Amino acid sequence: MNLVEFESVTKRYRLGEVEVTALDSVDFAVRRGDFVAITGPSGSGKTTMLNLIGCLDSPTSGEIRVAGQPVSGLDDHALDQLRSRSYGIIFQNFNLVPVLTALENVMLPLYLHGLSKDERQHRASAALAAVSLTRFADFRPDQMSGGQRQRVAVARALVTEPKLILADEPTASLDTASALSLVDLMKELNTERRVTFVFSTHDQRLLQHVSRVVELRDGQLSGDDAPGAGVTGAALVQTGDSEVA
Amino acid sequence: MWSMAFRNLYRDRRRTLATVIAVAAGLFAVLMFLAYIRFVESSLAAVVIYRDANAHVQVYRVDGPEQLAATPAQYSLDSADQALIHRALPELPHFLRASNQLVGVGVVQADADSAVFLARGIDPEFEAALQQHSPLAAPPPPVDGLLLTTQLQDLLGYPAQHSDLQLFGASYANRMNAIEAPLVGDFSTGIEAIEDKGLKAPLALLQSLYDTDAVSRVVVQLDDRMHSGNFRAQLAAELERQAPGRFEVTTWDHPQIGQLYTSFMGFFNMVFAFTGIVVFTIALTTIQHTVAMNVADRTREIGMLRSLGFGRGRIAGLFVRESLLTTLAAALVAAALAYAVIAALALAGVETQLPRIAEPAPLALQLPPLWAVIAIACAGAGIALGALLTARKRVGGEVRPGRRGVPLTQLLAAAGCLLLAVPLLSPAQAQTPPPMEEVAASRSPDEETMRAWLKQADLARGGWGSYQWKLRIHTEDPAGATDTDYDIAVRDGRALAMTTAPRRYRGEKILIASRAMWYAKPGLRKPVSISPQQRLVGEAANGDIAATQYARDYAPAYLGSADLDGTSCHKLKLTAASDSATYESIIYYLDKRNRLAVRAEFLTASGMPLKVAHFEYDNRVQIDGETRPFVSHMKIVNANFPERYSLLEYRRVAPADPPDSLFTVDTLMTL
Ligand SMILES: Nc1ncnc2c1ncn2[C@@H]1O[C@H](COP(=O)(O)OP(=O)(O)O)[C@@H](O)[C@H]1O
Ligand SMILES: [Mg+2]
Repeated sequence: MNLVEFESVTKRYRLGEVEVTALDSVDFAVRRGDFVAITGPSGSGKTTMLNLIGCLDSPTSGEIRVAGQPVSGLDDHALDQLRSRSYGIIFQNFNLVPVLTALENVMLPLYLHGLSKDERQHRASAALAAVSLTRFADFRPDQMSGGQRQRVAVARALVTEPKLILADEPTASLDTASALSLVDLMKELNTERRVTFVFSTHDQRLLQHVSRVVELRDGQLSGDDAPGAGVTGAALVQTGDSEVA
Repeated sequence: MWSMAFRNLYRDRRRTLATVIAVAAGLFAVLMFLAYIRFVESSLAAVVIYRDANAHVQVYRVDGPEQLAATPAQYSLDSADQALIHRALPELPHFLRASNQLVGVGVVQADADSAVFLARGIDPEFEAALQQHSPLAAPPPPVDGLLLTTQLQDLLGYPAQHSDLQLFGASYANRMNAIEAPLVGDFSTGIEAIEDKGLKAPLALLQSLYDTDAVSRVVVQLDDRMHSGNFRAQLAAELERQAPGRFEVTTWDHPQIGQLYTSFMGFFNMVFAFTGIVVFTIALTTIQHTVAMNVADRTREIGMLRSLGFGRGRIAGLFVRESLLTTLAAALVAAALAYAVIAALALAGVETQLPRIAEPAPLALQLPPLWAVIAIACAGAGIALGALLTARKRVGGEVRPGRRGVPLTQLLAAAGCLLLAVPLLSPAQAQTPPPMEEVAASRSPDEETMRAWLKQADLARGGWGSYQWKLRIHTEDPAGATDTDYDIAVRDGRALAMTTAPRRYRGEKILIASRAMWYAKPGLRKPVSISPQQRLVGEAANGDIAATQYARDYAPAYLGSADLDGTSCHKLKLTAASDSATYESIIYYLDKRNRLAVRAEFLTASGMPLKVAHFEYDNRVQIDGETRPFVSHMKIVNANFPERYSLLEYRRVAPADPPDSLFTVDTLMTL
């Protein structure tokens, strides 16, 4: 079984009179431990696909299953829970809360986990350490560089120890060096902590560091070099069942 | 989350400041208005409780508050009632002191001028003690004389201090009576409508005028006005136990007693509610607008928070927190400003004119912190709710059709419009159609003829010529029946009545000379002139009706024929033709056979019947060698209270030749 499964998922957007098919009958699966890059030109549907994986949007047709459970059967609250417990999300524009310090930004997701403040601080510091930003704990986003900010975003995604981290063009706002070091960081977390990553990029230079590349073209899957040896999503299923139900 | 909300507000300092100022201005207006309402409320309450000396709780006979003005005798408390009440009072908690009071009307006279008074007889000692608790200054109560309002003194031509004034009125037994007492000072009733009639006298003095030991009510002072309601209930229960169905206990804010208070507070509360709603709507709209702007500015942050698993409610909560903090800041600013302004006003000693209170009062605004907190909490709660609704809607992104209600602001605005419309609409319903004019019959006798009829009818009642007779008046009133005997002498429309029985009232005299009416009794320095208004009540009315020269005072018009108990009559409408005519108009029925008046209906200016008189003619007198019928019985009935009537019995009517000097005011006292 897989962490996330797509079965002929189609997503259409209505723009007034016009209907845009952003994703067209996509079959796809993410397995535990995967390090997946979704690539393709601008407008090919990468963001749409990540949003669907992250349950931030719902498909027009087809079925999405998380840990074997159809997402269409979940209500708002269950989806909030799922995102909070199982996912970490990184955005292209970092999306840090400008009025909070790096540490506080990283603590934010833990807020929903019912932890004491000390515990939250402790875990957030550990996450910041994992992205080598301990020194910047008390800095606000506008006092940090783009690369540093995105590492804060990674730390924030990591801090809840999610099964899956989704990142939509995390390197798009970074210079090449920062971009490479970010991908290295993600890869390292993937191998050392077995965190599953799905991220989108149209930067060809990054793809050589990635084990599995999924290519989108006009909303259709035009390539998926999925290695056969993926680990199943059993771990997610065990904890996920109770959380998702 | 709170610190995040706070930091967001700090980050958007400008917008926050603008919002705070807008909301603070609104809250400041509400607080100031609240303080003003409180001030008006306590001032009006003080007028009712202290200056008007209603104290906190009042005991009446059942229906007394409504009926006392019309029938003081019937609804007054006799000495047994008074004793019972004064025994019960000290047993109850919060009782301070109690006192008897008497209210009454009459005419006050100083030399040539007279005016109607509305008097309250009070115990000076009690009132002095009561006044000590009053926030409003009041002159000391009268101990051995009368206090008159400045307006009443003006009507009397400003009589000198310590000069004797004459009070004239109808006793509880409906006899005429008059007393003399010195003017010792002035006071204010605190109520504009009666300010020109206000008179205050020691209880005993007023009791002697109305010839009674009864009182109108017992007033009770408590240690705090907040206990009034409870005390009333306890006292009512205790009195009901001892004398079921006899007493009525009221509090100072009873509509009949604290009329000033209840009517104005009703009005003010409505204005306050309206203002409150308007201000609240403005504040709420401002906050909602700010929230909407904040949400729009931070869509990305909201999306991120949602992707982290923050629910809609939680994110909306963040914006609500921001609005609450904004409101709190605004509330602090508004409260500080309000207290500063109140203190400044107090320091500056600003005076204000209170509604219907004659003189200006110092503007002592009061805003108890609890009230301020409650007002702010209410506003805050409403604003938070409005912010929550806005934030939830905006944060949600998808708007589900069919679940959108009417926006709160629209609802509130609609409610405000409704409230405003109520007072505007209601007076329109109060209009009544004008009374129908009676149409004169077509074939009417000419005026000359009718005047001759009137004169002939007057003649049979002694209206012209010189006679003397004995008159007994039997008066029936729910308060009791009285019989009084008089010797009457008349000469050419002037009449002198001298009381012969009961003995107590012997020596009292009434002189009706053309356009004036006088009353004299042993002990008075000089006769009391009875004004036209005063002739409407009691004995005076009887004399007035009995002695009226219809032919002289009224202009006739023919209304056609009418049948009265089988007697065919001419029906005339007499309209007042001189100032001395007491009634605006009279419907007069003359027997067609002998032109004698059989019935007269006395109407007010608005055409309402006031009295109805029936005449019988069983007496005979010799006039110019001719035997003529003369009135033997006259029944005068109160048109509105048929159980109140007077029977006038004429006996031993004989032509006489009383000297002219008998009918002059100057000799009235020496007779
Ligand atoms: N919210 C939206 N409303 C309408 N059209 C959209 C929306 N989001 C994406 N699209 C359209 O769907 C297609 C795929 O967009 P997207 O998934 O953002 O592509 P990418 O991330 O690969 O650039 C595009 O043609 C885009 O214009
Ligand atoms: Mg995109």
